[in-house]
This record gives sequence, C-alpha cells and structure tokens, in this order.
Amino acid sequence: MLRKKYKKAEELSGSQLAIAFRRFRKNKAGLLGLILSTGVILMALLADVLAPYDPATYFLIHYPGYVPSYQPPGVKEGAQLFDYTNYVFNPSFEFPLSEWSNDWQIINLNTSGIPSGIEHGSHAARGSSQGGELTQDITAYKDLFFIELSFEAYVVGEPATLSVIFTNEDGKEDQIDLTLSENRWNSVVLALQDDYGLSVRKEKQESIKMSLRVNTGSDVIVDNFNLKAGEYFKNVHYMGTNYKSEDLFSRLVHGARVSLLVSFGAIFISLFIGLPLGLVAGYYRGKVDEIVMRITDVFLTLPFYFVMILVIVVIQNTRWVDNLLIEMGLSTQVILIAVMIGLGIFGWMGITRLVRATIFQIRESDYVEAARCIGASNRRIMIVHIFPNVLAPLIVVVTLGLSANILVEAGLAFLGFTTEDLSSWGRELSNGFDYATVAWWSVFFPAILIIIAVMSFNLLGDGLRDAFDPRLR
Amino acid sequence: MTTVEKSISEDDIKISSEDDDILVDVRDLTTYFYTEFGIVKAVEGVSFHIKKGEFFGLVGESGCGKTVTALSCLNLVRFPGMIEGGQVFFKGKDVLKLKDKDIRKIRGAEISMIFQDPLSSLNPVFTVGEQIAEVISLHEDVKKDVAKERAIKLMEEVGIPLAQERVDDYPHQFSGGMRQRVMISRALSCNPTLLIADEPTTALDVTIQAQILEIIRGLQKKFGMSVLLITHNLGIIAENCQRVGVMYGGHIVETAAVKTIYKDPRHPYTQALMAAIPRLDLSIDKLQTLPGSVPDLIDPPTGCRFHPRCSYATSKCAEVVPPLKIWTSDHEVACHHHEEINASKD
Repeated sequence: MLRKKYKKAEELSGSQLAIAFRRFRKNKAGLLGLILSTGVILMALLADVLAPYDPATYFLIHYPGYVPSYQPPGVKEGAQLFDYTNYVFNPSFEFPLSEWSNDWQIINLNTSGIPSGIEHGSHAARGSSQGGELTQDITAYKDLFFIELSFEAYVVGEPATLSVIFTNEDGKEDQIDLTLSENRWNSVVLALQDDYGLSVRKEKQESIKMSLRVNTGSDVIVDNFNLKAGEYFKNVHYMGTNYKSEDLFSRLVHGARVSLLVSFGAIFISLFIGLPLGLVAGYYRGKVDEIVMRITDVFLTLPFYFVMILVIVVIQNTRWVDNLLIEMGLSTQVILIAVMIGLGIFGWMGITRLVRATIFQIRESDYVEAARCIGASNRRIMIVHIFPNVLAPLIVVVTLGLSANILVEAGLAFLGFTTEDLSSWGRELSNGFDYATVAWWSVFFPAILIIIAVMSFNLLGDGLRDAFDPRLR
Repeated sequence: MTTVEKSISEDDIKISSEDDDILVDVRDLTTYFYTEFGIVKAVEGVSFHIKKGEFFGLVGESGCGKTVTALSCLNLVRFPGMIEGGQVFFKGKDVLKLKDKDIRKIRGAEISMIFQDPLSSLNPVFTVGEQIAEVISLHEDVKKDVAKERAIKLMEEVGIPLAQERVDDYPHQFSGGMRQRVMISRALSCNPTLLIADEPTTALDVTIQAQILEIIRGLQKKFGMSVLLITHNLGIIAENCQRVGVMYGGHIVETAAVKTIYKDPRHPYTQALMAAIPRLDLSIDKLQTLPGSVPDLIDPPTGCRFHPRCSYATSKCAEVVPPLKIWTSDHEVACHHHEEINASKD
C-alpha cells in the first residue's frame, strides 16, 4: 500500500532512459521527427512492397514508336490505350523472328512445293502447311490487352484462306480468316484489342494461344513474322515518371534504400573510428588526447567534398577493392560503397570530439572516483561506468549525423557519384533538374523527400537531445 | 609537564611499521598537481598513522589537502596530480609501490571510501542494487543473485526502509540521506578494515548528518574497522573521533587524541581554530577569526606555511619547515615555538 502511494508520487521513476523517453513523448516536434524518420526507414525496408512497379520498368508511350518521356502524376488507364497513344510495352512479349522460324520449321517443314526464286529477305522463314498449324503461346503478366501481328505470306498455286486463331485457356476461339491471292506476297497486319476482334480476352485469360491455320490444300510460305503483345493496364504514377518513363514513386521508394543504407553504413564506420578514439582520448588525456585531437583537427581542415571525391575515385580504382567486391557480388555498387566509406572516414571527428568532451565531464564526476575506489579497472570504468553515460549524447549526434549523411549522399549523387543500376534520391533530383521547367514533378518529389528525411532525423535528434538533457534547450 | 622532545628517527619508522596495532602508516606523503598555472603543492611531507579500530579525524579548512591525502592513501591521485614521494603502509605493505592489479584488490575490499556528495558519487544509469552488488562481484566470486541478496541486507543494515523493493530504484529516486546510506552500504559491502569518509555529511542537513554519523559509528563498532574521517567540522570530530590530525596548507601541523587537542592545542593554528568555535558557555561578543587568507599552494610560504598569519612567527619560521615532533606520547606538533607559546599554560 505504502509502496503504491510512493509509486504514484514518484513521477520520475525508472532509469535515465525511461525518464528521457517520457520527456520525449511530450515533445511534439520530436515525435513528428520520430514518426517521419520511422516512415522513411520503413519505406526503405518495405520498398519491394510499397513500390507499385519495378524501378527499372519503362512505361513507354506507344505510337509512333516507343518514346521515353516524362509523364505527369496521375492514373493511366486502359481506356486511353484505344487510340494507341498509351501502351505498356514489355520486352518479354516481343518474339524475335529467329525463334519463330525455328518453331515454324520444326512444326511444318515441307519445302518440296515451293518454287525457287521466291526467297524473301535474309530471314525468310519457310514452311508450308496443308491443314497444318503454327502455334505460339502468348503469356501476359497482367491482363493481356493488345496484340499486334504482322507477316507476309506467299501462296503457291491457287488462292488460299489463312486463319489466325486465338485460343484461350478454356478452349474458346477467336478466328480471323484472311483470303490470300496466289503467286504473290500478301502483306498482313493485324492489331487486336479486347474490344475489337479479340473476344477471348474478355474472359480475363492470362495466356492465349495463337495459331495460323491454312484451310485449303495450298502451300503457304510465311515470312517477316512479327508479333507484339501488350498488357491491359491501369498505371498509377503517384509522382509521374522521369524522363526515361520510369515510375518516379517506385524509384524514390527504392532510392530510400540507397540513401539510408549509405548514411547508416557511414555512421557505423564513423562510430567504429570515432567512438574508441574519443573514449581513449577523453579517458587517458595527456599525450594520447593530444595525438588524437591533432589527428581530428587535420581531418577537420580537409575540404570535405574535394577529399570525398578523391576518396571515391581512389576506392573505385583500387584493384583489390574491385576484386573483393566482385567476389561479394557487389561490383556494380562500387561507387555507393566508396561513398559510404568516404562518408564514414570523414564523419567521425564530431563523434570523437563529443565523446571526449562528455568523458572529460564524466571522468571528473564523483561516481567515477567512487568506481575507482571500489577497485574497478580502467577498462571496466570506461566500459561499464562511463560509456552508458556517453550513450545519450551519442544517440543524438548519431541521429543528426544520419541526416547530414543523407544530404551529402544526395549531393554526391547529384554530382554523378552514384551507381548506374540503382535509383537514388540525388540522382533522381539531378535527372529531373534538366526538365524542371516542363516536368515539375521530376524535381519536386525527390527534393521534398530529401527535405523530409533530413528534417525528420534533425527533429528526432533535437527532440532526443532535449529529452536527454533539458538544460540544453 | 615533562617534555620529551625528539624527532622521528629511523628506528621509530621500523617499529611503527611493524607495530601490530597500526593499520595505516602514512610517511612523508607528498602530492603535487602539475597545472598550467604552476605546480600546486597540495600535500607535502604529511605523516600520520591510524590504529586498528580507531576513529581518526583529519580536520582543516577547504583546500588544505585533506581529500588529496585520502586519495593518495589509495593511490588514486590522477593526472595532473602526481604522488611525489612518501610511503603509505597498509598492513605492512606500501600501497604506493603496489602494482595496479594488486592495489585494485585493496580498493573497495580492504579500504573503501565514501564521498561528500552522495548523488554525484552514484552512477545515474544503474540501480543502487546493481552498484552495491558490483563491489561484491568485483572482489568476491559470487553469483549475481547472491550479490543482490547481500546488497539488500547491507541496505537494511544502514537503515534504508523497504530495501527489498528499493534495491531496484535509481539513485535520483533517493533522498540525500538515503543516497549517503547507499554509499555507506556500498563501502561496507566487502567488510573493509579501513573506511575513508571524505566529508560524508557536508552535503546533508544537520539531522541527517547525525543519523549518518551514528550509522558509521555503529558499523565501526560492529565490524571493528578503522575510520578516517575527513571534515572541516570540529564538532563532528569531537563527537566521533578518538584521534585527530590538523592540516594546514598541505602540512599536518598537529596530531593528538581528541580530548588533548581540545584541552591543550599547541599549534597556533589549532589554537586559532579552537578560538573560532562559537561557545555557549562563554560570553564573547565577537567571534574570533583568523587574519589573512588560505595560502596559495602554487607559491606557498617558505618555512612554516602558517607563518604569514601567525602572530608568533619569527625569522626561523619563514626559513625552516618545522618537523612534526612528538610532544607527549600521543601528541605531535609541527611548530618551532610551541613550547614558548604555551609556556604560560605549561
């Protein structure tokens, strides 16, 4: 009972961390920072789930040809496809001629009736069919929407009827009959959409079999065969596309991975270097401190961006690093790793200084003296007694360092120091920069994401600092 | 009164270090601090001894080297401080010559220390139970829960209520007096033979002061340990100690049994201190104070460090450092002229 009353009266119960956490909960800006930065981290972790599209997919506009182009934020639906202007082009639906000729020859190889001198082009695929079939499966990832078929056919002897048949998985058929003139090349172009001619599509089949069937007894030679198929789509580009027609949202979501990975990795490298140096310098003072602080000063005087670029170039061109990365299967990410290492190597000074200064304060405190009095060794005092007290300011400086690293990573990516095959915020920003006047979204969204990420980590860091040490407010 | 004047000879040293009765024997301890502004001669030629089970007081004004003396006894003086010379015999071994590993076994187990400010001497990130148990597990090979059980018992022993539950609380959840109790239980956790209490009550209010001192006294009797009590409060000395050393400007100027020093202070500084105690039994209009100020220890006065403030000072005082000489069997004084000064009394 007494204990209960006592508990109630004691608002500030629990460890230092628990008190700081309670104080932090009252700090609205800090909470916002926590929520936003958690969001950014989650975005990076769940990039595969969050991003609606693969970041490397091109969403090209069809007709005339496939033109990469920036598209504004919004929904691109199948209805717009009707006039051929928008079209999802997926390379997997393009069947090269050589493959076709092979199939064709395997199925129906009968050249006996073909008159000589009618070969047509170097890729001529020949075949004849007497009631025979040429078939090909067309498989769609989503809803098959669009099929474009073109070929040339030569009929030997009398006129023939050639049927193009699409069969869905249930066996339902769509047949298009073509009457071909004899003894000459007939050019055939078929463009089929689900509202026109391609009724099998209505069943929402994922796979359709296409066959060519010659009804009469004539020999038919088919050449220059081309088939293209598209998917029905309803694309939502929340942030539009970049100039390459890649979905900006997906790319930025995946880019968060790069940005956070680099900044977290760099902070860990910085901690790895800076923390022990700060601990040792602060605890032993004297000559050790002098040496460490002079090294720190030297690093601080170096012009950051120039040296960073130098380090990146050196790492990029170091053979053993290259070999190591190839072994690890990371050879394409060499620049990212170089940026990470560079940021880590030039980002530890703040940590060292802070840890040293904090320890200067703590080592003079009576509880360190008391720890000495009970016979604790130097190492024990440093690790058990001093280090937990350094933790609070360390968390703050690491959080603030994260935001700084995000910014520098973006800056270097903007200058071109980023990987080719991964999207990153800085690169999207620099890509969009050239199109800023016509495609505002290509600059706006990367920039706003960088701002949010940096701001959220800063707010979080400030909030934590206030929570741990309200005197600094 | 017969005067047996002799300086401490080599023979005495031998005898005293082999004397079974003596627990700590500090000889000619000298500790300097090398600061930017010069060498601070904080402690110079300090000698005293503490007997087994004795309550020894070290009294002096702020900055006279009491705490540095205590820290030197544990070889705990840190950069920029250096122990320049002297010996500290503890159970016959010179603590200052021990290896770091060996002296760590003494710290906390044989000699433990409590400090002035009980809040800052407890680590804010650990519970008090963890901090008491740490001492036990550092010196004895016991399991964690055993150490914790012992921590609870120790807390009960120093009078912390609800020890069983409060063992998991953090230092900031305790009041000043309770924190000092925690510090005491921490210091006593390995049954030390010497407890150094460095102004243990300065940061506490008067009622708590009395309680804390009572606890220390009680535990001293119970465990038979010696106590080195550092304070600037003569009242505390009178109440608790058996013997007392008076320090001034890094020197010990007088050591004697408590009764003796109150009845018959021989050094002019001790006399001035006694005169400055407000007394109820005498009607004095103005409290007597000591003219001048504490000596600058970077550039201390030559000879006797008290001479610039001493009304009896002669040219000899400014030139020769007075050695601590045995006056009576349990009374040592470091003054060239104490016999003349006290001639009227004697």
